[in-house]
Amino acid sequence: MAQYQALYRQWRPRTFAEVVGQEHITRTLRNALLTGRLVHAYLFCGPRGTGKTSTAKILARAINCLAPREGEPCNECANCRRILAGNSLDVLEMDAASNRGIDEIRNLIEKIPLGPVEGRYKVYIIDEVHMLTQEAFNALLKTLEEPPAHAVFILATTEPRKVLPTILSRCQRFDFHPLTVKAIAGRLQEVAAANGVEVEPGALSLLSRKAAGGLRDALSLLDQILATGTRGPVTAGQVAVTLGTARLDTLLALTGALATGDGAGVLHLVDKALASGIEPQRLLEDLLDHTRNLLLLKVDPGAGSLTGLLPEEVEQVAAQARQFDHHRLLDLIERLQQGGAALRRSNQPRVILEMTLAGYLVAPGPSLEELSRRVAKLEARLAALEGPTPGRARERVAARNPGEGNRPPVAPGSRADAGGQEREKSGLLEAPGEGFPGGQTRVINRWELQQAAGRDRAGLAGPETATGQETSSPASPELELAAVQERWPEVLAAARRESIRLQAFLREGEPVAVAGDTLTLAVKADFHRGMLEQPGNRQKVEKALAAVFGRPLKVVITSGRPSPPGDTGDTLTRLVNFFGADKVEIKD
Amino acid sequence: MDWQELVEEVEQGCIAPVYLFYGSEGYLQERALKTLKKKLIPPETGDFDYQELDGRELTGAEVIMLAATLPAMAERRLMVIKSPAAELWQDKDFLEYLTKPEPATCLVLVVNGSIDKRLKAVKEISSTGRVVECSPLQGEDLAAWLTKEARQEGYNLPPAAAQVLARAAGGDLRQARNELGKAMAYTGKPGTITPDIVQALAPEIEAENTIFQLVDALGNKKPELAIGFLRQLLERGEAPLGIVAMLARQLRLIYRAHLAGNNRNLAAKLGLKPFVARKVAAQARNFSLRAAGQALEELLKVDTALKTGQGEAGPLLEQAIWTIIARGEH
Repeated sequence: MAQYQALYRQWRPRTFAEVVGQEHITRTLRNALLTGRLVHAYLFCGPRGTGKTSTAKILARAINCLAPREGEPCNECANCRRILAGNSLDVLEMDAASNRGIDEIRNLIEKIPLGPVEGRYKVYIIDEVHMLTQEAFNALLKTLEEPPAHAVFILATTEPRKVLPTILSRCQRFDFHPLTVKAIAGRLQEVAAANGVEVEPGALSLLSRKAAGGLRDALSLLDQILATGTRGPVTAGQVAVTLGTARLDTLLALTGALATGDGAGVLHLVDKALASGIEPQRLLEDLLDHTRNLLLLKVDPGAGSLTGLLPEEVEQVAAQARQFDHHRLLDLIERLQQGGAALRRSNQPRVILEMTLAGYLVAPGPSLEELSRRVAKLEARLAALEGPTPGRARERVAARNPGEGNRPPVAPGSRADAGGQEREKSGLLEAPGEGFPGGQTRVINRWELQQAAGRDRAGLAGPETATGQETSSPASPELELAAVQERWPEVLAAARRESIRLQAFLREGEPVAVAGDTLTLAVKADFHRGMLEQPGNRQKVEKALAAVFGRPLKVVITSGRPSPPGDTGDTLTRLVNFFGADKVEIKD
Repeated sequence: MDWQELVEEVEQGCIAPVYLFYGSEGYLQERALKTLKKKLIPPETGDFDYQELDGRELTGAEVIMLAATLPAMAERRLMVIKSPAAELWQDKDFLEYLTKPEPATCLVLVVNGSIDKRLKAVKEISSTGRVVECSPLQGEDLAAWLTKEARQEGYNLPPAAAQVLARAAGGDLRQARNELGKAMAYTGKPGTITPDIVQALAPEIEAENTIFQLVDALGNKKPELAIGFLRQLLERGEAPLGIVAMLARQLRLIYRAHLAGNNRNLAAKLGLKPFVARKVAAQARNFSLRAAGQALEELLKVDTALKTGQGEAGPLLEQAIWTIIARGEH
């Protein structure tokens, strides 16, 4: 029974002219053969499925061919046939991935002095050469340095960076490029036609894009689709189902619904797509790619060639791009990006996917970055108007306070607080996965407790609940932790004006206690704490605090385990009471 | 004398009985040896009269004995001693041999690295034979050498193309020669090798240029161009972290160019070649100090995100490009 040979093996190129998309290499090699510029060692590198091994084999034949035509092997003479059949004595192929030791290389090298039997040269093809061990590389290097006149080495690798530099400099290096979508589509068309199959242009485009530059992958995918054996032309739908990716019209419908703010439609479409067998992760990635193209075409409708889409598809995408504002698109990309990251760690991918899309609809308007930039700008303008005297700074604080208080929340319940942005976001996204394990022993470490204590006191610290230590400085009105925490973003903004790095260090910190004119800052990361403790930086922080709160404040920096005098014990007792003594284990 | 003079001399048939090759460019030493061998040893006599020895374990007496051996078939014996031992230079018998070397032997001492020219032996060699320097060629010299090499084979390599080639090899002569061989093969029949050909064949150079254009596009606030270049790079299989690193390098240079102010010696200050420094200075006009800093910050974000598995390289980098350009607008 005749065995079926995979398409990529049936269609392995047999001449240089048949190698797709590597004109710079095939032309050089053919000319080298014609003009006698053959060198002793070649290094072929490039991603998988771009023609390295095929070209190496063609070169081996062309070198030894009895009747070469214009540098091409004839594939008909005795030598070519023997090499094609894989039983030539002059062409040795070695897979370095499975023969990576020094012994194998020694074995090979020992036989090199023996001249060729049938052809003019002995050709050694060493595939995946980066897998060789260090010793094996060195053994090979010695031979590459002084090769006998009859030997030609062809090394092939996907990772030239792992090849020793000394080897690299002895080889003529050729870099195989990933194939363009167009080149792959052309070849696929040819193969399909030869197999008597018709493939829709849309299907072809989808296939070629999914192959990501590797022709072998593309042919394998085509094989897979042909194996389903349906009659009639292959449609984009079939391809999408086989590959488990979303079709362009699905993506267009989804983004269309997002553009019009049709939440129900979005959820409906997601449901439909998932029902057709697309993984949520895949759908999100496809959407992300699609959104990138939307943004690109929004800015430059003529950039269609970069997307790898067919012209009419580019038209569709560009038309939809007009419905979006480009800030909104950027926002969508950001959300999809974050959703993708969260999705990887979640066991509820569908929820994340839906939440990501819903989040985009629920919270329209400028992004957080945009807002913080505007705020920073306004502050800069204010500062310029008011001048730097401390007395006025205090007025400014007072004047701004009410406005600060009823600042409209950007996104209800989530993104209002810049300082806690990270926390809030991850909380929002990871919520489903992070349910509180009821009944189990909850491990609470002291840091969390202190945090809780700080927040607790902040909550309680109304004007009337001034506890002992907070009355120590009678001169100025008491500053409360709650106020400091609320206005922490302002401090960050002030710090940013000093230097961006200072802000970055401060971001890691959280005010946990205020006592008189001393502010305790808990900084978790050692590095950031170290930086903040440097006198220069400390001064700048204090300056920023003074500017915001209109009074000098001393900063005490702790590692997140401060001992604020007062109610730590209280909180602990309350927690123990709340959970029950057997459920709480204290870890320091 | 340098090795080029040597080659000319040897080609004219003037051969000294003793040579000392020194310098760190092994390729030039190899080439010089090859020229000598071609001249002295006819191919049909094979390796009868050619001897290559590792000098680390040879004493002066042994060297002299070997050097006194008469040639079998060729007119002269060629004897190469690679990395001779330090004691050899002090050896009395050897010094004496150097004053009256055997005329039927061509003794070549090859030292990889520098030599002490005050040594008596070295002085002797320079009077009875030749001391040849083989140090690496750099910048313009390398380009000039490549042009000459090409001309010898009938190809025309204009200075622009030669410079690209020299850069592609990163100062490594052997690699430069390899790249030249590739470019000549691509051109086919003797003709002119254009910079485009060199670029198409030398991947690093192409990537470097594209990065440069990408930074230009960022500076000129042309997102569509920047994204185009980025996709080109990714499509060609550049490593994403490599792209981030190269972008960051360029922006850091711009940042530093601003810090250096209107300094005439920008090249020296940044430790760059003059033409690279000029390009950096030109790009710096499109970035304020602040903008360059912010762009670097964005790249740091991408770097962190990539290394912590927050997403794919393409979207992350594109997002960074959009953010950098959007920030610049406000």
